[in-house]
Amino acid sequence: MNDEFSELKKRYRQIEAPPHLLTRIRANTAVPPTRHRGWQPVAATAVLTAAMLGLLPVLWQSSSLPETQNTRPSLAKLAALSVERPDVRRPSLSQLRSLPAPRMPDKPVLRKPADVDDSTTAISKENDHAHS
Amino acid sequence: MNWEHVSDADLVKHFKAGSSAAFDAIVLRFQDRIYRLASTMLTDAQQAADATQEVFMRSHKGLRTFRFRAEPFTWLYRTTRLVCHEFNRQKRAKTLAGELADTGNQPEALVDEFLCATRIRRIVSDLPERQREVVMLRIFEDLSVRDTARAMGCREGTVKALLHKATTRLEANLHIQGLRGTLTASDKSTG
Repeated sequence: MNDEFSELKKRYRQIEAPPHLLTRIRANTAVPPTRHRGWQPVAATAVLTAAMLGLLPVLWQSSSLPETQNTRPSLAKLAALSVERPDVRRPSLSQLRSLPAPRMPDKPVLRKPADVDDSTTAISKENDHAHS
Repeated sequence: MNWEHVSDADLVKHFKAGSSAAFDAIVLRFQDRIYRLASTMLTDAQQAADATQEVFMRSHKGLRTFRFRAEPFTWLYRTTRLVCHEFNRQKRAKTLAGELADTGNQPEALVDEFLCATRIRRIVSDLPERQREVVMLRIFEDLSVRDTARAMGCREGTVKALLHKATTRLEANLHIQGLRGTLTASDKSTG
């Protein structure tokens, strides 16, 4: 039986991998991973379409202005423009100088310490422990 | 460049540096071992071939970030185990759904080789998973105790203990005489 087991072990060690295994592995490892990039053109188209739709109203407004409306004023018209000044009397310089200064308020008068009633702040000497 | 004398770790370093020839060398060096292990974990020869291919497909990506905390074969072995579990899970799901796998159209050469792996799978199927791993790596793949421990992510003492239990059970089940003595001698020589 030991011979049989040894024979079994010997036959086991003679087992070889299938032929062309390396070729198959090379073929599978050489192929780059398939990345689905089909979404990229679709996404780019959608972005461009959205941008065009967003710009469309602006383009429409600029193209809808009548050609007869002259938006550019001529130089003559610009020169004829005048600023309307309000009708306000301006004081003269002498009037500005003679304006009296406002009267200062009266100086505040401090209450004299003698006016203060000591009875309200008097501290009973019996309870004054600070100086004990 | 002759990659035969380059260590496993250096092969991976060259691959990480961008050498596709280094990856080819990794495949050629480990494909037989990975296929044998997959054959004992799966019940279909074609699935074992697909699993082997899947392991190296994942290694093409995974080894780029390999940090050399373990041996490259450890990474490949664990990936093999994971892929085979996934294949078995898918097969169970398909079987439950009524989609029976058609195993009649496999290439004859694959079937012949697979018979040996099938027999080994039946022998070790009675063992717990960890003992099964030790038997496959230590006995059938003839890895050293140290390499087996690294592949399984355990200590060398654990490998020896698991091996002792596995061989005791195999002897009891298969009445294999002298198996334990043979392994003890090989432990001393390659341990």
